[in-house]
Amino acid sequence: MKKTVEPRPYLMVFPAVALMALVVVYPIFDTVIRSFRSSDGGWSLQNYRYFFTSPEFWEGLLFTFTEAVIVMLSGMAASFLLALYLRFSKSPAALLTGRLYLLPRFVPGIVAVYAVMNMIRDSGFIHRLLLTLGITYKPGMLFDMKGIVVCNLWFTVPFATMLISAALSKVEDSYIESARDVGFSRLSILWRIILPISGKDMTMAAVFIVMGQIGGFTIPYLTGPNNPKMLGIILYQQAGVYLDYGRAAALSVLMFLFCLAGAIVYIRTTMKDEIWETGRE
Amino acid sequence: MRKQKSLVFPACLFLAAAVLMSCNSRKTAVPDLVTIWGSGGQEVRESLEEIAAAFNADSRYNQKTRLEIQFIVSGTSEQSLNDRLAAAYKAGEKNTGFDLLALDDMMIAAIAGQTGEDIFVPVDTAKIPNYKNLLFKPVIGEGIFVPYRGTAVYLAYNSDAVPNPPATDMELYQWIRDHPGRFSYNIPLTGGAGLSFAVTAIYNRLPPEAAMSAGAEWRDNYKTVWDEGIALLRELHPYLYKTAGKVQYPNKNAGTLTLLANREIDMCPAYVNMVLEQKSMGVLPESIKIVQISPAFSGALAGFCIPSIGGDREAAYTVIDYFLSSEAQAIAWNGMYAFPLIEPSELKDLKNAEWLTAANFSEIRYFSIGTLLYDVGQRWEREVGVLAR
Repeated sequence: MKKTVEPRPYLMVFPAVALMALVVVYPIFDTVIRSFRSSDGGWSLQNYRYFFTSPEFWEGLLFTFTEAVIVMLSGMAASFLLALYLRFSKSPAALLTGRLYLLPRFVPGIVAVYAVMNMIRDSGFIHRLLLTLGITYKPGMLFDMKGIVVCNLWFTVPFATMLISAALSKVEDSYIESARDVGFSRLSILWRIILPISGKDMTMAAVFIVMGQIGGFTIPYLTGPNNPKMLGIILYQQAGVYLDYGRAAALSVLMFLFCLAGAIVYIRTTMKDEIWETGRE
Repeated sequence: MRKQKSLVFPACLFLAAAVLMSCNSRKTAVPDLVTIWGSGGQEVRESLEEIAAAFNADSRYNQKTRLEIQFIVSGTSEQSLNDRLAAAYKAGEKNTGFDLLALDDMMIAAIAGQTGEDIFVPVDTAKIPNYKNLLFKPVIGEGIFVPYRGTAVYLAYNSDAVPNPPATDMELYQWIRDHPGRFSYNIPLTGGAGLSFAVTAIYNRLPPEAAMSAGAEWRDNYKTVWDEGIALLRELHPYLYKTAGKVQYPNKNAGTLTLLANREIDMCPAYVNMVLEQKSMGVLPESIKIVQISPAFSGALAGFCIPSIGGDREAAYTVIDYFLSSEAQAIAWNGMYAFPLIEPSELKDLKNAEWLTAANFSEIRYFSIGTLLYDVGQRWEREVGVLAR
């Protein structure tokens, strides 16, 4: 039987694909090509060589990854506890929290950052409150990694809680009840039932958090120290201060590769079938 | 089913045609339109739009043309207005929408460097009746630039903590050493106030004519002088504002003013119009005052150039004339506390007129060093900024 090619699906997909190709794929190719061009127009690795031999870059890379891991660990810890509370507690407080915890994400980014800055800066709310009690204390959190972490948690915790809550909803009450019947301790339930079921989604949340931190600009720009600089700031400087678009392109490609590693972890995790899932065909 | 599908496509075509036709008809209904392109801070945009609204409402002027503002707020996009102009110029476009360019005089050399010497047409001041009232004739961009407001970087200080502010640059540097942690300036390439502080650290040691030249020889033949200026900034570094155990240079002009408002520092370089505007809004306390030191920090005139790729020149002259009128000059002061350039006693309904007298804006220290500004900024990043860790 001759198979007729139906054009309609392709026509319907075409606008989205064309738009993606124009504003995502083409600029990526353009950036990659630009990163291999030297200042006199020929092909060269000089832009990459600059970063690999720049102490500022390595320092910034270490700083960025450290900050990303800290945000990920503290964010995941806070979010996991919050999600557990929302899932397993039936109290009115828990139900109320369940409705309100996403609100911080609806606050525009810069507004939230300025709000947090006004709390934690050396002349901010914390300092002034303690001053009324006769204590002179300067938090020393702003313009430091601590400030970047705190501001990021504002957005990270609701986001990760949402993902983990969705994962925990796969844990049926009946599993917990049966486990309790057999004599499992709370810790065993956590380790043997809850974590394996929600593990994949938690890995996804962790990967999203880390990948978001790598390219972060607004929060480090407003709350970060002058040195070391996060990668997003170094990129901004290469383009805006030094006007060196070749180097900016090279750094963009490097950051893209770091995020690619995260994307590979994400894809492999989600594609991998857990043992109990393969049984269900 | 098939009937419904065949109606969708013609309906879309009709809608598209209607939208396009309505766009066209709007354009042909307006006789003349002058577009001012500008870039800079949000307060500049608002001031231009206020004056444009007054222009379009003033029957002496709105019969001749209408005025529209296109503005790019500063930050990472500052370069892009120059880029757009350069792109249009290099593509050989004529009669583009760039009828007038609102800019600071120190940007003239930078733009001409990106495009060509003939990017701006000579201004025939005979066609601007109000030109004769200008107290400040342009020093930079003579013949191609018409200023309409002045701006300057002064020393802003908390008069409660500093009863006698320094009067000279040397006194200021000594004050910084004597009061560790009470002075700050922003990262030079993020704001003009900090840039002014860094530039004058070098240029106060160079001959006066260096400030008006964009020639690379002032950097290359005077390397030791530049090194001395940078060494001064490095020496002052440990005495600056500290937080979390290390020196922190704020980003942007507003960053230092926030520190001043919160009393984390007592003194900083700042744009006069920013300080006065924030004082009038109550964001800066009344105790914050401004003073000029000697040699002064930089000042500049802001005004208009007429790009050669623009449209109707006669209409452009009409617009410039309005900006030099006493109404527009008063709006510029009341809106953004920009220094007017005509006789202050001519201006009516000025808010906080005593601040204008107190500022004593009589002389401007011009800087027109073109891309050498970036050299100062980049050397600062590499040799002074790295110390902040």
